Amino acid sequence: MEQFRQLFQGIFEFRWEYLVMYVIGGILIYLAIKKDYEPMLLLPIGFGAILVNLPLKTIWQYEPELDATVTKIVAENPMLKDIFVNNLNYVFENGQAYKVEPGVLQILFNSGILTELFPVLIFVAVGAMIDFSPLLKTPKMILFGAAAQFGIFFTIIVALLMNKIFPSLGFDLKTAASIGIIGAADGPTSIFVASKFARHLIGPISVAAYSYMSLVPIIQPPVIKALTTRKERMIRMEYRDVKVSKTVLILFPIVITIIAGIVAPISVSLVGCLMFGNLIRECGVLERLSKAAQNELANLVTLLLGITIGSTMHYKSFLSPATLMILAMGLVAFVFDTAGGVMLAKLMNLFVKEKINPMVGAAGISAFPMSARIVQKMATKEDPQNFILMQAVGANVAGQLGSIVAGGMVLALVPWLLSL
Amino acid sequence: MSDLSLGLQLMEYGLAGVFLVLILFYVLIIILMKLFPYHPEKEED
Repeated sequence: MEQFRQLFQGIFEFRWEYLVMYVIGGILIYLAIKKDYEPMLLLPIGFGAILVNLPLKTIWQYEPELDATVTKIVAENPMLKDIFVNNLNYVFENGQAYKVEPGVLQILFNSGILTELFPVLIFVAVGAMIDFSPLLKTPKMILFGAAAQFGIFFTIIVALLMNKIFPSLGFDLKTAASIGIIGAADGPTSIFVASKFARHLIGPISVAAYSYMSLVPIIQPPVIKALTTRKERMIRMEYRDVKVSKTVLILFPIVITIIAGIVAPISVSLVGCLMFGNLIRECGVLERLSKAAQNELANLVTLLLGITIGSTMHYKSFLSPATLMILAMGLVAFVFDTAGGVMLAKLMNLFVKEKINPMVGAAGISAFPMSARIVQKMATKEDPQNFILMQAVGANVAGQLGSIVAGGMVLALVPWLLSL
Repeated sequence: MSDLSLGLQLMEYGLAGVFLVLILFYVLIIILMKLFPYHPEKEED
């Protein structure tokens, strides 16, 4: 009977929770294929979620093997137990040591996520894709890139309030910060912060971040309409096509990196890699590297990142009230990001002569270039002759900078506040 | 100090920090655009 059980281990180890995760993985794959919602991430995440919820989880780790030698060593030297557990992939049960070899997805997780390698490589690729000239032409739009990060900090407060009402959620300041950073509307930043502060929640945080990024066309318009009047949405903005010199385009990423590195050293990984990618693009002499960053690098890392994130979605960590809360709070973050940008524009209109269309403020969210297109679409709907796309793109690009700076602020401030 | 009050401080310093840094970037952009204006003849080289 025991041999029979061993032969059909997969069937005997099957649990109903696996079925739930197959449905969740299936939904993500459906959204990717049928609805075209961020397919490059949601499909690998969905498939990774299915893989890690197959019996025995062999894609994550192999079956533990009893190691008599290590059992004896630890029995004689108990202080060595932590070293074996934390560094050498051992687990202990009833005084017995079992070697657990990591599976391929755990190897990718340890080398790509825990080391923050995948997010920073994606930033190199993103930097190579960004054109900062719309922001350089309309630098005032940078303020909306700041205002549209309001949702991050508001959501941190909401997460902490939820923890007061439901203490079993376990949302301490670090976890709340990892949830709030979904509002950065920037996958790599969310993964970067979550890998430092709440590793066990990388799965739901990433799913929330990428899902809501793809849902920006549905989330933003109702929020913008609720906060603005038709008259405000019809405000026209003059666009002066200022030319930007090549020298500025080259110096911009270098100087930004130096300044950001001095002001917030912990943000250098994010800002530095983004600006490195941008410098490769703008220098004009590294066409091949720029194309490789935008294509091969972006595609390869995205593929590995997606399936690795999916592999963190084991039912034991994913099927919990905390996951539902995270998904709900991700929506709160995006809503209040939009609100923050719009409200700043309305506030500025009280003091400036040349009025700003408040919808441009909403484009300060980092979801590039979708948010800018949504704003233009809404403006055209109210007034077919109203063209605010360039201002919206400027704000959208500023949002990219704002989200990384916000991520850097969170990374620097949370440990400092906890040490007070 | 409770986590909630730490969270409020995080919001205060975090938003202020983001605005300050981006205003610094704004000043930097203005300076760069003034120091290195666009010259059609130079850009064609």
